[in-house]
Amino acid sequence: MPAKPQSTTRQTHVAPIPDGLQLQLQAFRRNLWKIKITEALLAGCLGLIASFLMVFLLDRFFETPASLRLSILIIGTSLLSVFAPYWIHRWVYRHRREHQLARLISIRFPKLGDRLLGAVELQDQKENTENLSPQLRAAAMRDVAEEASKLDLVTALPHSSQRKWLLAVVILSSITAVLSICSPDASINSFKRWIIPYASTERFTFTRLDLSAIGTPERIPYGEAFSLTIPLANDTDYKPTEARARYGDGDWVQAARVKDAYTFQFPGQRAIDTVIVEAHDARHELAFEPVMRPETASIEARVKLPEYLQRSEDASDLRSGYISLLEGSSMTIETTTTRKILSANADLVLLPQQEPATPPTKDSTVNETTKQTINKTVKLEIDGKTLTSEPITVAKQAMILTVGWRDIYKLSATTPLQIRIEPAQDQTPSSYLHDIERQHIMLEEETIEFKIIAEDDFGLKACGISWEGSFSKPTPGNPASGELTVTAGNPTKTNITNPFSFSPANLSIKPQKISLRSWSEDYKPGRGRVYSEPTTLYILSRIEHAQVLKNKFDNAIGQLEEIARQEQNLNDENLRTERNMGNDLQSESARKKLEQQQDSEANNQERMEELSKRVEEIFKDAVRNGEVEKESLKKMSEALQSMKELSQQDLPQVENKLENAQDRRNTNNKSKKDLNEAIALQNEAIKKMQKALEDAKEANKMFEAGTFVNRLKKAARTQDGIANNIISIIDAIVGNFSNELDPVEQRALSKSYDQQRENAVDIHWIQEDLLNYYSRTQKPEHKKLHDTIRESMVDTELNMLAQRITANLSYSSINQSKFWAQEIRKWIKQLEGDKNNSGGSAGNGGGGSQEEQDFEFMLKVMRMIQQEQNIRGRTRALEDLRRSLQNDTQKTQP
Amino acid sequence: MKTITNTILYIAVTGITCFAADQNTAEKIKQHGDKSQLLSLEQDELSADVQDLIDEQTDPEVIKMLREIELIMADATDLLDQKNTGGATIATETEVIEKIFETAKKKQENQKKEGG
Repeated sequence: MPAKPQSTTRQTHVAPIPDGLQLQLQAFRRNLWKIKITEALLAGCLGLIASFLMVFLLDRFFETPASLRLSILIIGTSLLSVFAPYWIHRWVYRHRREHQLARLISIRFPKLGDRLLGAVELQDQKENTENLSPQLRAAAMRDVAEEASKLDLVTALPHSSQRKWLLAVVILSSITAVLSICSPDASINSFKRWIIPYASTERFTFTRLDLSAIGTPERIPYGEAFSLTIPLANDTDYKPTEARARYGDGDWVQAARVKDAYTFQFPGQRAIDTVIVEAHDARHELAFEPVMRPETASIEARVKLPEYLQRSEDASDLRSGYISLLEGSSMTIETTTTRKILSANADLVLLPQQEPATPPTKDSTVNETTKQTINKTVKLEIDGKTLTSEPITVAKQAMILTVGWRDIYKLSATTPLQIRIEPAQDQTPSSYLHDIERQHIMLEEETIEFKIIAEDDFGLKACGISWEGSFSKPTPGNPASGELTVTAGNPTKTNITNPFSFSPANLSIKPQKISLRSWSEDYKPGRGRVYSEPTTLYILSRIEHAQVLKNKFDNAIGQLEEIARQEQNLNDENLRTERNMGNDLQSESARKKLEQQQDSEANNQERMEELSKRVEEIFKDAVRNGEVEKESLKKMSEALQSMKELSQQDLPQVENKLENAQDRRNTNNKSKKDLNEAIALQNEAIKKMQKALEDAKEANKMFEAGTFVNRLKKAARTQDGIANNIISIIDAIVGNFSNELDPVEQRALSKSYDQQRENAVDIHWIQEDLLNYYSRTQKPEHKKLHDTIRESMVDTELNMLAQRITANLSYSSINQSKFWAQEIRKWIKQLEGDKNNSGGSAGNGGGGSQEEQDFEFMLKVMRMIQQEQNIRGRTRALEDLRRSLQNDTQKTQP
Repeated sequence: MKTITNTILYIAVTGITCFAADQNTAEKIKQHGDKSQLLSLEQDELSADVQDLIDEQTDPEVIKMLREIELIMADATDLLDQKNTGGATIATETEVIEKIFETAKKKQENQKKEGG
């Protein structure tokens, strides 16, 4: 059983060992402890230094993982914290007593050791008479002490490696000291990384790369070759001439140092991976992610047209890359991309003014860019995925706006966005009159309907019509002039089509030549109205209209005579054919001849058809006129009826028979029979033509006579009217000077004066027409009447009468006016006598017959319809006028 | 001072222009009314012509139709006299035209019947 532990210093024993021996043991113990404690301390130091050096060394080659650094630290410190206490416990604590030392000595000196152990044990032996003698015990102790004193107990100390350990510590410490002096940054860095392994202390490398521009992960364009530039950090200690990198498991890519940076060229990548970059002792693993490049999701321009157009902001799609805008417009471009935008820039290039306005192509864009003259930078506002430009004002030149951007991954679009902005001018509006002939003849009370069409590129302010009259013969008063706003537009109305009814009577336009135009106006300041090509309206009085119809009818009669002559010639030729070739009508030459005759017959029939249509139009106009007398119209209608029958029945029958005569299946007799029938039918047709011609001529005679009569009747009525007007105000005007009269009477006299002047002009023209008519027809009655009128000096007299009226010579004016009314009526009688002589057959032809009554009824009905149509047309024109007044009111309102 | 003078001139010119425009419009409105009433008179005269035509007729059916025309014409006359030139008046006038056509056709049919 081991002895109970005692104090390492002084112990109380029953019989202590001799002092010499005790001193020897104490010296032995002191040496033992010194050696072992030194060993424990050296081991601890060695562990710490070695582990630090291990981390330092490993960091030089690679990024030592924190776990490995922790392990090294634990192992290093464990020598000091575990091994050293253990060692001290073993050699110090457990070798503090004499018997423990005696046992250790017995390893080197077994015999002495055993005896020394016995001596130590005897110290505490209780004396007993039976088995112990104190003398003997003392003698034994003396022997042991004597024997021990002969030996050096130091040699019994256990083997010690403290020198080797010390050497190792010195060497490692020296290395550490050298490293710390040579590379203090690396040493401090390694110390930090060694002492606090999990701290975020970056590994020190002699070559340091600047990775601040590399993202985590770094995005690269998907599937596209890319370059990676990594510069050296400013504080790098070493600048290797070359570096290498690789994408994932790919091949290493070498890069030489150029301007303190390494640029690696990588092929296209599609997978997320790590790029390892190595430059000398620097080694980095960088995460890379291929992503698709950002695209334009939408692009539109918010266009603000110039203020004068009064238009609200409008949006236009710009995906075509081309926009044409009005000069002076302001445009803001808004682009939305597929990814958030990090940075963007926009440049505006103003092209030379002579650039043609053509949509851009890829090639042309490049060429044009080289011709650029002015560059401007456009400010852009970034909001997430949206990019908004500052307002761009459209100049006179074409412009190319180039917008580039980088997304949050620093990727740009495949190609920068290019938009061509082409300046446009505000075109002048156009206007024209539709559904109306360039020249039109109409009666004063008639209405003409047409459409007013106006167009503008940006908006019509208004459109309407204007008219400017001119007299074709001397007429008192001023020619008509006026305008109407037919439709009020608005800033967005670019087309106006408005039907309009123009009624001279409603607008108080007297018979004259009117130049009618439509006009349109846009919003451009200072441009004013734009007028259409004029349409000429010949507004005629009934008498003038009748004269026009008369001329047309003369022409129609001439054509009818020509057709009749042609038909007679054809008839003669058919007779010759029958006579010369009658026995051989089946011969080729005969058939050819018949064919020619048939074609000519067809041609004549066509002419007759056209003529009957023209005469029908003249007849309708004559009915419309109202001044043409019934008998004349009746004859005209009879002629028209004959002409219609000829064109639709008689002449086609002749043609048909001539065709039959050519039939190859015919016998000669059959052909001859057909030809004879054709000749017979033709004879009938010629007779009918002659009858139609006679009717037409008779109608014409009545027409022309009626025209002069009617004109003279109107003149007489006017003179009566003037006299009656003055009579109606005679009490108020008699005895006064014209300048003393009340304005009402002054106005009435002025009106009478105008009428008198107008009537004088009319009578003058009647004289002129009579003379011209005589020159053409050589009818003496017209010459006679002309001479009578001329001799009466009516022109001069009526002009003098006008002067009397204006001078308020009232009685004289009344008398003179009535006198000339009677004179004119005498002339009418003179002419009517002639008319009755020439047209007597018509007038005496049984005016009361049923047929005439029916004709008269139909004539009245037709005139009634015509009059009602006129009233309706003028009502419509009045409605148009009323609406145009509303437009005027709207325009004048602010 | 110059600004005040210019402002007064501007107001005066604008006022005169507006006044002239208003006056012109008023004249045209009056013209519209006058012309409408003139048309009313013409319509009335035409109605008198229808009365004359009635007097000349012997066919009761034709007379009846002409009387109807006369009544419709009277409506048109009234409308025009009230300066109404709108759709109602034009429709009435169109009815007159159609009715006159019908009357002419009826007359022709009856003549054929008599003749046949």
